[in-house]
Amino acid sequence: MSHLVEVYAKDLGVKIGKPYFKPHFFPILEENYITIHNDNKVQSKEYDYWEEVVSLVKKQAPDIKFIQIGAGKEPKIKNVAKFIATPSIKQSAYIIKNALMHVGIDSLPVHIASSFDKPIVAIYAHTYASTCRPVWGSKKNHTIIESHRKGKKPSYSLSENPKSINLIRPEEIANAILKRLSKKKISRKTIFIGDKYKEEFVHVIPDNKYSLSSKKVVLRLDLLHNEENTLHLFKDNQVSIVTNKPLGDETLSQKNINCINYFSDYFDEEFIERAKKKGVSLRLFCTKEETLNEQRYKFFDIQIALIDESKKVAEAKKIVELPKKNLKIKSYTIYFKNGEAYHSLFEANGKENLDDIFVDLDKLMLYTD
Amino acid sequence: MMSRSKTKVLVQSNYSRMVTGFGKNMRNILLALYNDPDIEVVEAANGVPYGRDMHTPWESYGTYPSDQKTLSIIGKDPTKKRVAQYGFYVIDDIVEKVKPDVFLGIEDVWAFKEYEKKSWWSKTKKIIWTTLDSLPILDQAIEMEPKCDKMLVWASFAEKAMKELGHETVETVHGAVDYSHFKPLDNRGDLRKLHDLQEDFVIGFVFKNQLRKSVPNLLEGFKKFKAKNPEVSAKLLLHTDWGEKQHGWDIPRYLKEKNLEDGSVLATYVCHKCDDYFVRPYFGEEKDCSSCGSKKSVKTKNSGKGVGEKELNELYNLMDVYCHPFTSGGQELPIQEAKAAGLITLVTDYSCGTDSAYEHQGGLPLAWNEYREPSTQFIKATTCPDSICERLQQVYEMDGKSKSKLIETGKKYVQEKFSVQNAVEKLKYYIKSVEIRTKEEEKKEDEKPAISVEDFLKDVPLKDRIAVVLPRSAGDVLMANSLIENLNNLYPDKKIFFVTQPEFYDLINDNPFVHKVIPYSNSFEDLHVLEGRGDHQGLFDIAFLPHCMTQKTYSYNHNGKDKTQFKLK
Repeated sequence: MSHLVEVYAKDLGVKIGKPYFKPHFFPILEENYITIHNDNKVQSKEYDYWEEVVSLVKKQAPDIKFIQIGAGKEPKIKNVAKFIATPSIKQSAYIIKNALMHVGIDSLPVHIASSFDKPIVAIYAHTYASTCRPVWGSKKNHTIIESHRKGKKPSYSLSENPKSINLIRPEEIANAILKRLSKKKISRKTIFIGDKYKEEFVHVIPDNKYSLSSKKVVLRLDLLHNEENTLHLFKDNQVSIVTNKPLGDETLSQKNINCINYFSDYFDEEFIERAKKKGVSLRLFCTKEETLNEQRYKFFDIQIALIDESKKVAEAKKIVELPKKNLKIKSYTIYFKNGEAYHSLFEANGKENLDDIFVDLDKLMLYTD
Repeated sequence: MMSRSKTKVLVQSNYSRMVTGFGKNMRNILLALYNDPDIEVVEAANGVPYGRDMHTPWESYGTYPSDQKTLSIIGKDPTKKRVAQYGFYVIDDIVEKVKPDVFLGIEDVWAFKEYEKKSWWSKTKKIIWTTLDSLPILDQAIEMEPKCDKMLVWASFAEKAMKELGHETVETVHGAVDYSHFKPLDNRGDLRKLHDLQEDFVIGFVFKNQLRKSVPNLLEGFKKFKAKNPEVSAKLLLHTDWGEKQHGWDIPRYLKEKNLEDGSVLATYVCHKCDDYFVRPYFGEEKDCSSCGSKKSVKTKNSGKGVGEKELNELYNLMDVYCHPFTSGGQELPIQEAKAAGLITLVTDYSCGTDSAYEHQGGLPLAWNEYREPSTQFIKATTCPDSICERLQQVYEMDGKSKSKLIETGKKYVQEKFSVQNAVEKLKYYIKSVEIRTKEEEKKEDEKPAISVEDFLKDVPLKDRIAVVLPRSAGDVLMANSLIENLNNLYPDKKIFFVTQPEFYDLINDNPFVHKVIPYSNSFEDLHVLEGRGDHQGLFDIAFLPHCMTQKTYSYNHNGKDKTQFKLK
C-alpha cells in the first residue's frame, strides 16, 4: 500500500509519528452530534446526496444532530441542524474533537478526526482510498467507503463528469453511520440517481392556465402546443421553452424568456430570424442524424446538438433495470398536467408508459423500500 | 468519416463563433475549407474549454484547459493564464488526436511562443498567418519566421518590413472578412431623410478601443473644414461608444474644448429593448425609447449592444465620405466596409492603411506624424488635422465623374483583394504547396530562479539547515507534520525549515521541531538552487522535496498494491 504519508516518510527516511496540532476553542452548545463535511473545491470529491444520507440516518436515529463544518464557501447541506463556518481550521478541529463521529469526503477534517482517534465514515472515488485514508488512530474506528467506479480505475482527475463519487448509494453511507451508532439498518435500496436529480424545475404542459410565481419554469410546448395558456407565466417566472414548432410573435415578445429549445429535423428559417430579432436565446436540437450536418452548415451561427429520443430511451434502458414491484420515484422536478402536480413525466402521463421514466431518467431517483 | 487521402488541416485561432476580427476570419476560412474536396479541416478554438462540444459541422476542440489541476496552476500565474488562453497547455493533446498534415495558426504572433519546442512542431507543416502592425517589427515575429514553414501577414506593410529584414518568403494574405452585406443602397435618399440628413455633408468614422485616440485630431480637422466652408452643413458621425468616460474616453468633453457643441457631431443610438437605432447629436446615455416606449433603454452603440451588419450598412449609406484616422492596425475592417458601401475613404497611410489609402485603392491618404508607444517603442501614427481638412475639402469639391470613378475603384479593389474567396484560394495554395523546413535548432535558456530567503536563514549556519518543501495541500501538510519529530531525532544537530504556502501555516506551526516556516515560491522547486551546484553553495545542507512524487508527477500510486519491506509506523 502506498499511502501518501508513507511516500513522504520514505523520502525523508523516517517513521510516521503523530502531528502536533492544537485545536482552538469554539463555542458550541450542541451535544450528541456528528460532524459532516462536503466541499466543492475539488469537484470530483464533492458528493451530491448528503441530504439523502442525513434524512435516512434521522429516520432511525432522530436524536442525532448533524453539524456541517467548513470555511463557509462549501455548498450547504439543507437538512443539517447547523452549518458552522469557522474562520480557522483549528476551530473546526475543536468541533470535530467534541463530536460523536466525523462523516465526510476525503479532505483535511477526516485527517484531523483521525488525529483525535474519532470514529470516521469517509467516502472516496477519484483516487484509491488506500493512498489517502485516515492515517492516525485505531483502524477499527474507520469505515472507508470507496465508489465501485463501474469497475474502472480511479480518474485522478480533479473534475469528473459524471462523478464517480455519486455512484456511492446514500443508504450505504447511512447504514455505516447507523452501525457505528448501534442503530438498526434501513431497508431502502437505491436503483438509480440521475445527474439532474437535484435540479428544481417546474415543467408545465399547458392544458390549463397554471398559476405559478418565482419558479424556474419549463414550458413543454413540445408535449402540447398551446401558447395562449402560457402568456401569464412570463410575468413572475424565469421561463425556458421547449418546442418543436415555430412560436408566435406574442410569445417571443414576452419578458423573462430564459431560452427557447427548438427541436426539429429541418429548422424554420423565418422563425429563427424572428427569434434573433427579438434577442431571445435560441438553442437548436436536431432530431435526425441524417440532417444534422446540413442544418449545422445552414445555421452555422447557432450551435446545433443532436437529440435522438428513441436512442436516448434505448441507452437509458441499458443503464437501468426497473424492479418488477415496489418501484418508488423521487425528484426535485415537478410536472403540471391535468390540473395536478407530479414528480415525473411517467406519473403525469398516468403511469401508462414505462418509456416515460427513461425519457426523464436524468431527473429521477429510483428506489425500492 | 472523411478519407485520409485528404490533406488534414488543423486551424488554430479565435473560436469561429466569436465576434472578433480573428473570429470572423476563422468562421469564413473554415466554412470555405470545409467544402473543399481535398481538405479535411479541424478547428482548434481559442477561447473555448477543451472537451466542450462546439457543435460545428467539422471536428473541433477548445484550446483552453478544462482540468482542475491546470486551471488551479494557471489561476495563480497571469503569465501562464495568458499562454493558456492561446492554447499552450492543450494544443499538444489536440495535435496528438488529430495528427494534422498542416498546422495553420492564425493569431497575434506571441500566441505561438515556444511552440517550436513542442515535439510535433518539427514533424508537421506549419503556416503562421499573423497581424503585424507597427515598426519596428516585433522581435517575436522575426524569431518565428524561420521556425515555421510559411509566414503570412495580414497587411502588405508587414510583408515589406519583413522582407527588408531578410525574410524573403513572407507574403500577404488579407483577413477573410465577408463584406457582402456592405453595398450602396437604392433607398439612400429615403434613409437620409429618415435621419434628417438630406441637406448635409456627412463624414463618418466607425471605431472602438484604441482608435478613440484619433478623435481629437479628427475633430480638429473637421472644425477647420467647417471654418473654411461656413455655407456647408457639415456633420461628423462618430459611430462608437460615447459613454465610456470612466476609461478616459470623454468625447463630449472634446466637443466642448473644440467648440463643437452645435449639433454638428452625431452619435448612433440603439435601443437595448427593441433594437431600433437612430442618428442624432449626442444627448447623453440611458434615454427613453420613442419607438417602443421603454425607459432608459437608449444608449450610444457599445460593445454589449451594437447594430447588425444590415444596419451598419445603412449607416455607411448615410455618409458622403468615410474618414479613418488611426495609429496602427492589422486590417481595420471599417475601411473596407465603407469602400464596399460606396464611399471614398480617407485613411492614414501608415501600417495596414497603406493597403487602403491610395487612389488606385479607392482612397485618399491622410498625412501623419510619428509618436512612440512608451513601453514597446513601437512607431505609431498621429494623423494631421490639416491633412484631414484638406482631404475633406478635396472630396467635397470633387466633380461627380471623378467621385464615381474613385468609388468604383474602391469597390472593385475590396472585391478583388479583400474577399473571402481571395484569402481562401491563397491559403489553399500554401496548404498544398509549402515544403517543410529542416528541424530548427533549439535554444535552451538557463533559468536561474532568484530566492530571497536569507532573512529566514541567517540565524542558522548553512551546514545545519534542512528544508522540507511541501507547497500544498492541507491534508499533506498535516501528514508531513507527523514526520518532523522523527526527522529531528535523525538529525539532532540540524534545524528544520518547513516551506509551504502561508494558508497552510496553521497545520504546521504547532510543531515544536520545526525551526521556522518559510513561504513557498516557485524557486523552491530546484534542488540545485536549494542544495547547491558548482560555485553556488546552496541554501540548505539537505532539502527534501517530497511533493515531487505526489503533486508534480503522480508516481507513487501503483494501483495501491506496492509493498514495503520495513515498517513505517
